[in-house]
Amino acid sequence: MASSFRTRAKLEKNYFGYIFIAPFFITYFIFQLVPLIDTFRFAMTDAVAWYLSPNQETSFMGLKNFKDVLTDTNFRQAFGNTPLMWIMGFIPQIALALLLASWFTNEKIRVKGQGFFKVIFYMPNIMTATTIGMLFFTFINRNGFIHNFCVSIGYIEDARYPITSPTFGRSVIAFINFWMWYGQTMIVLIAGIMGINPSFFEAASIDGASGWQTFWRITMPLVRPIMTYSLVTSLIGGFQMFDVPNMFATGNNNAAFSKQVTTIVMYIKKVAYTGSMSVSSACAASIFLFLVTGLCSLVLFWLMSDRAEAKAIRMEKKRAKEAALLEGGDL
Amino acid sequence: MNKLKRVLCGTLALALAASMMTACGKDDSSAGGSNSGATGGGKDESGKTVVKVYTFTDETQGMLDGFLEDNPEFAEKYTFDITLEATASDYIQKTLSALSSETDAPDLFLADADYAKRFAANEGTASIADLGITIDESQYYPYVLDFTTIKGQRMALSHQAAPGVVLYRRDYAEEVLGSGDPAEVQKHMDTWDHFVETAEAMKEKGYFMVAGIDELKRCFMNNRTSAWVNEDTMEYQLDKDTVSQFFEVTKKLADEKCTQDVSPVQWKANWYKGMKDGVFCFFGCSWYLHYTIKPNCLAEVTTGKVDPETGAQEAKEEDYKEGNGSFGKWGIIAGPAGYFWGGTWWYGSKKCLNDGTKDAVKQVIEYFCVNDDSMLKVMQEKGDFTSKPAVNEKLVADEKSSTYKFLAGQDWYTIFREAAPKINTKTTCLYDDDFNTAVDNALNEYVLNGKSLDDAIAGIATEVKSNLKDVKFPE
Repeated sequence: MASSFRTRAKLEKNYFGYIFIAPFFITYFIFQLVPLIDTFRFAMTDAVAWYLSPNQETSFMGLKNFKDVLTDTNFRQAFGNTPLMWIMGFIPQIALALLLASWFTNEKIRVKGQGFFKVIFYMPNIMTATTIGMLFFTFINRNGFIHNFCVSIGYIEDARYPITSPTFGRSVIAFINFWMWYGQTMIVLIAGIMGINPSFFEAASIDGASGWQTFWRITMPLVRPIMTYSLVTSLIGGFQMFDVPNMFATGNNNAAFSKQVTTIVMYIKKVAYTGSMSVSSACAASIFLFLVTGLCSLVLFWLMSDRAEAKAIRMEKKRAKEAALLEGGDL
Repeated sequence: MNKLKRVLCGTLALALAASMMTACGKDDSSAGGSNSGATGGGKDESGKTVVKVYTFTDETQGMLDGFLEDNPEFAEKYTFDITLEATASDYIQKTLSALSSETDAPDLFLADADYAKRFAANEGTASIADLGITIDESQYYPYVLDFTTIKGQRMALSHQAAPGVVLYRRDYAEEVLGSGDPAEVQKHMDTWDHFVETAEAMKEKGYFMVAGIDELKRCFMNNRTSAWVNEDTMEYQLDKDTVSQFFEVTKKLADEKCTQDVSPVQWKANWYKGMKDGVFCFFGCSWYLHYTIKPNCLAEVTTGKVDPETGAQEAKEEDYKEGNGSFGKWGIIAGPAGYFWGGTWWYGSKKCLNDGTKDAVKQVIEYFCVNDDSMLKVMQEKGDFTSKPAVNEKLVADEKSSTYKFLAGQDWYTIFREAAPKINTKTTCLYDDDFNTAVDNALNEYVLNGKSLDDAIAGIATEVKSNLKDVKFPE
């Protein structure tokens, strides 16, 4: 009696577990998976936004949309701009985050007021990107302080002219992304460094390793999985960059360098929601974005994995196998 | 106990699922921030039929309030549920999206010139004839009707015509050109060559001719010989001469230091700043005179509102005093070429035909756009200009009004009556909004980024190719 009661209770528990996770899966299937599959389906048709033409009959177009997107000058330009602006922002972002993280976790330095600094560094991330984009757009606009500075140092000869340099525009956007995200990356890296066994650091200091050596020989190799995580999430976010550059390139805020800061997602939005609202082309462009992001993430994983170690393990296995074969031969 | 637990768990799970679902549902319907979410044709608490209205301008609220006051029997039966979305691209998307829905579609909706044709071509729009409105077409300016005509069907009506004019500073004209009188100034501004000459003369005395590089756009663009897209063949058409002339004149003005800014400044801080001082002329129109330049020429507003971001001002009568900014120093002339700027078109949706609001929509449109008496009354009060020449003949510039003082005693209606018939109607297509952006970018490339004229103009087609899939571009 007692034992049968226990099994029933166990079963019931599992059963309720499924009920609890059901809402997520139901909403996921309806709002995520179905649209996801539809993206692939639509990309092969000539569908336009349903509300533009509610009773449209779409026809199968094969890979035409993909071909059109690939040959589109605007798409190509967007595809060049996006990774460029991401890299311009990410390199200083990860460098500064690493530096701050290693300082904050260094037992020898013992930075005072850590909580305060962490909050300050994280702060830009709390504000919406649009607000920050708008703020910086005001800065580079005429009479904004960056514009005024450019005039005063003679970079802009005639104050009537705006800032037109694409490099300048991209740098401003890269800077905003850097400034918004280094705090977040820093916190993640601090967690990563804190996870390293302190006895390694102790051993290093007993052996007389310098701070620099400890950083390169202990912190860096052991924090690599977390670095990979930061790098890949940032890469995905970078390819999907939208809100900040959008503030510099659309509507009333149309900077002279708007074409040079147009990103892939901005292109997708334009194709899907303006003009003939060609949802199918936008889907094709989205799939490209998906493929490229996936591919780049894989390459990053491969680059960041510890290949020396993996190689050593493989070599070891091979040797063991050969040894076993040899032994077998002997027998 | 066990049973209770089970019931509790089940209820919780259900509640969770339900809350997620409703959250999603709610998100969809309130995405645009509709103020009440009432369905057109439904009844409100007091039993009145709700007429759902979509608009892009806050002016509509006041107009409909006035309409209700004037039509008490209507006000007993109907009430308006107005949704306002001021950003053009959002408004287009929202309205087109709503029109395709059988339940959420507005009964009555309005459009600005940039997308009036798109709304007219939409499947959810009812024609004027469907609404039971009969008009005498000869009574309207042709452009007002042609604008929203699709396959011979009139799809919308406008209460206003917005003929383009040039507003200029009388004091600068007197100093530089020798006379501030409109007829004299017009002689210096009647062709683009004279316009550039005047600009150079203004520069000599330290005044800028125009505020930014987008100032002349509408005037040139309305004078193209063809629309961007041929309506029948859907082929891309470029009037290269006009576009080149626009780019060249603008670049010349920019290079010769005749523009206050070498960037597009319309609706931005420096544009409003130029209205207060330093800029000789602005390309405006009927509504622009009342709502844009008149309040923004004031150096100080004590009673109105100031937009913190752009510095755009709204003012009340008390602020309109001579000596406040450049108030009272302005004149109005027809300028180098006829054009129009915007307008407000009224549409009924197919939905209103069946949900019991057809009559209401018909009455509203007739009140504002068909009946001479009510049109005259509304527009005389606003100082605005109607879509019917005959009604406009009866409009009188009110000598006590602030607009009259703003123009130093000039009758603005004379100029509008002169300018309205000159409007070219053959330049509109479905995608004017998209082409406007592309032209802005191409002009930036030419004036600021040193692209050659041909390359910059070729860039217009390159830019819109991505999002205009149904337009045929030459290879």
